[in-house]
Amino acid sequence: MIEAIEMSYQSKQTHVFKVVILGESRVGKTSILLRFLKNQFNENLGTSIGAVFFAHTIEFDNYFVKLDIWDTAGQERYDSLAPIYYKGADAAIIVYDITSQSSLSRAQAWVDQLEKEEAPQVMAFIGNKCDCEPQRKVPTEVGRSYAQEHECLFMETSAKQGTNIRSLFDTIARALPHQQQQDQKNSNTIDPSSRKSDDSGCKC
Amino acid sequence: MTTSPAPQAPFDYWYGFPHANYTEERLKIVSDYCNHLQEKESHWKPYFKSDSEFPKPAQTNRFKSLVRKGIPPKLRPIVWKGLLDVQSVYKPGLYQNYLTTHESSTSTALHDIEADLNRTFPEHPLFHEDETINRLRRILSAYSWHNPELGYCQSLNCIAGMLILVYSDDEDAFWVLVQIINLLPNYHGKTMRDLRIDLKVMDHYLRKHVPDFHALLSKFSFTAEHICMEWFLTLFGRDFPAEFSFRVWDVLFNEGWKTLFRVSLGICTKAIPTLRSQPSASPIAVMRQFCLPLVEIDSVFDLGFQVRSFSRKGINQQRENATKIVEQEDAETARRR
Ligand SMILES: Nc1nc2c(ncn2[C@@H]2O[C@H](COP(=O)(O)OP(=O)(O)OP(=O)(O)O)[C@@H](O)[C@H]2O)c(=O)[nH]1
Ligand SMILES: [Mg+2]
Repeated sequence: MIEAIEMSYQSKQTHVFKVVILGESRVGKTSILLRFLKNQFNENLGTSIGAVFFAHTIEFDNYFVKLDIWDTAGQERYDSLAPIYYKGADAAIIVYDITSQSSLSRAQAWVDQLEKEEAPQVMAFIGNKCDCEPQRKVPTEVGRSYAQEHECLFMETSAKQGTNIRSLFDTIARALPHQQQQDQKNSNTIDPSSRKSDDSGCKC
Repeated sequence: MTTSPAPQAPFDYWYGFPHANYTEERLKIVSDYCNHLQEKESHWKPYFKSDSEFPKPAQTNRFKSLVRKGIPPKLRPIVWKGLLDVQSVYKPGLYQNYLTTHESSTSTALHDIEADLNRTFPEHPLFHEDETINRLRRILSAYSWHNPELGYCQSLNCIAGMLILVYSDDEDAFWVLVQIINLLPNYHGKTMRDLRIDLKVMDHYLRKHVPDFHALLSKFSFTAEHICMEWFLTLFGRDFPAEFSFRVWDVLFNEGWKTLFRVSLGICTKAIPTLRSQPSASPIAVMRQFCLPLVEIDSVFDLGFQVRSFSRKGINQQRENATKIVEQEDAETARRR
């Protein structure tokens, strides 16, 4: 369980965003999330089935951002179930494994698919397992230029060593409310008086 | 000459899963009622043909309700084989034959299985042992050769893993797995279309029979799909106490897939007060915490099985409607590609 945050919700607004993590099986989606939520790395996580839900609140100076995150299952046959989870998502984190060419193609296919549907406001294109430099198959530049072309955030991460994980979620959380204020779209903002504590379903 | 029987280790109703952090009260509920089931073994004796043979009995109301009250854990291995009519599909030697013939084959299924072996019940000490992992590998790969159309679907590892805890013989576990999948709509197949359809049907019944729960979900834009996907795929085999899973399996193997709908409705009804007490928390997270230690099996079943007007005909009508929606969604996706 993530520690509940009980603070001055009266004075700060909480923005709630829906985030979905997509990518081929075993690229490290659940590991990235576990590193972010608990600062842990575990070689043997349970297989993700369907999708697992986690909630986490990040505090900024003037507001809270609550991320409702769906960690989806990567086995190919689950693809047709993915819309259940990415429908209405504000942000998508699309992950490939820098040691696997096929995972890059899969990640690119996800970006394509999301662009053709209602693309989320923020998309992040993430090359994970950057600690495995000797086995690298996907040069950083390939990932970066693809991400630029498709207006995605880009980072290489390592869930194992914790590289860029915090920064990934911070960047997304910061990117979101800004765009939202520009859009004058407040439907995602929940009434601060109605909430007391945050809860999350993290059980890894 | 008579020798006194060797003292038996007490039956582990937790099947080796860690349960140290359950409350005393919950631990007691499970051991009390399992002991109670054990005492009821005599009610089951008349249905046995011999110690190792249990032919599937006629579906009298009496037998149905006996199963709904739970099969005594020690009798499960044999009773399940009977309920699933394993006899009707069993072919001697076939299991072993799959393993020998394909000893050096490769396939996508095998590749996916391999990756899931160490990701199956990592919280369970037995699944850290090579022997268990090897058993899991054998059963799942044999199944992928037996049913190449399906191959392997993530979640079968959980079902097979649970079977390993009940059957000491791999061949038994294999054939039981075969019959479990035969009993279900094609949830685990390559397109998972039947699953998508039934989850929509489930959403319909949830709205109809447990409207309060459905409303609590809708407030957060969730549907039954988000709640029930893993339940339908693992057959409640993960993230519930093992005895809960097995009680569901008792009824599932006797009454068929409708059980999945009924148990889902029962759990959701039972969870309403818990959801209400945490109005600002995400219902998915609350449900997960609610199910992990859920041992009040009888009351969940009472709530689920008392739901009226739940005929196969009605469900099939709903499936037709859901199929149209799924077809539209697929056409939409294809159009965009
Ligand atoms: N070296 C290295 N290994 C990693 C990293 N992230 C994950 N792994 C390993 O990769 C394997 C798969 O990780 P998961 O997090 O389960 O992958 P997933 O994408 O969630 O997989 P599915 O749930 O099947 O879709 C595990 O053995 C992890 O330990 C990383 O940054 N570096
Ligand atoms: Mg995962």
